[in-house]
Amino acid sequence: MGFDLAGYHVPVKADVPDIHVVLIDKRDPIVNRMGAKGMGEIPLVGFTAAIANAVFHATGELIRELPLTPDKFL
Amino acid sequence: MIQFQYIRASTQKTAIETTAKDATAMFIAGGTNLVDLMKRGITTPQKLVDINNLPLKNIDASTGRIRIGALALNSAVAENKLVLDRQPLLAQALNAGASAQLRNMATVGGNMMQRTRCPYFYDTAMPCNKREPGSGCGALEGFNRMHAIFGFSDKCIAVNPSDMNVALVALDATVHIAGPKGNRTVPFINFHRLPGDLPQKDNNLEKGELITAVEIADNPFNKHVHYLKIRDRASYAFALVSVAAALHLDGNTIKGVRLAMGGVAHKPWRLTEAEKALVGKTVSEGTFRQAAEIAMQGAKGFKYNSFKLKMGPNAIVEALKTAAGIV
Repeated sequence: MGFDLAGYHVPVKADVPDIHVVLIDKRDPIVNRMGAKGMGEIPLVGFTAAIANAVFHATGELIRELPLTPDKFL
Repeated sequence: MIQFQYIRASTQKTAIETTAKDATAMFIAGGTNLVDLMKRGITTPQKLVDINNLPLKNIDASTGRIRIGALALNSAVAENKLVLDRQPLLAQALNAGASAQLRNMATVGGNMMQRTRCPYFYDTAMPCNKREPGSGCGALEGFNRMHAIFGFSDKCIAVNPSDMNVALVALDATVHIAGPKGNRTVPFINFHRLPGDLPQKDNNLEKGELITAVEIADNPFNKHVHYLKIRDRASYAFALVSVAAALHLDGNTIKGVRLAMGGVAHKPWRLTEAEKALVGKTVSEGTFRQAAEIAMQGAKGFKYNSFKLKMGPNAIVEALKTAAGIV
């Protein structure tokens, strides 16, 4: 049930912890002439599993279905 | 586009008269819920009477009570020194609600008047007895994860989304109302309604009546208080369950207590029986657990919200522990 982003919950600032930025100081001449690397999709592969594992570590509950909403931990 | 007329009222008297005599007229203050409902075609007033110029913004403490004008902004109340010193539970609840931007627009009266609602109320393609009496309740057999576990009827199982209301019902506030037939006051607990056979009526305000202020009599609940809101994300989300807890302690003995829940009923839900069970007892997790079980008597879950039957008592225990300072 939901037809806009008010009802479709994405993380907001209050949900996001401090982010540590790591700069990779190495040219990549293959992808583009600027030498920049693309990092769009790569983190998508592991991050839900990483969050689910962190939650498991904190609660002892391993939830294998997204989203990880509070009701699933009762 | 739906056309409507907009009038800026300069006196309370004309605002009330204009709204009382026109069936399609509504008051507007912050508009944070009403404009939303108008954009979606759920509420279609033909006349909006803007009350923002009325002198109802003050927060003052005369003899033995705090009086909060109905047009005081949610953010102004939450950071007001009198409120923070005397009724910190109210400030906590306000800050748990909506977003900073909304709290800067929304008024105290408007917060009380926001619709008790659910996604089926908002979706005009779905049946909803509250939006369209007699059309049925989509949530009863539908996706009812956010819905009521207390006081619902087969006509409506929506919950009142306000956090402020939960604190005000716990604090025994009084609502001051002006209307075409004169002034009256209503205890906060009697302001909002259960759905019964008239889910389209969220509260007991009559046509043309205007909330002018909310008063809270001085009480000993200025120290051991906590508003706990459990929600799907850390801000800008309605409560799955919330608890307003206030303790008056003499050492470890509970001399007085106020307890209310949000996200569980069509109106802010006061837990009177649990309060009675706590008075005179010694502060402990076991005592709080017993009170939480009493509080949950009569609760009933639906297909997707039965988790609230567990989350509810857990939240009560946590809120009381935090209020009491038990880690």
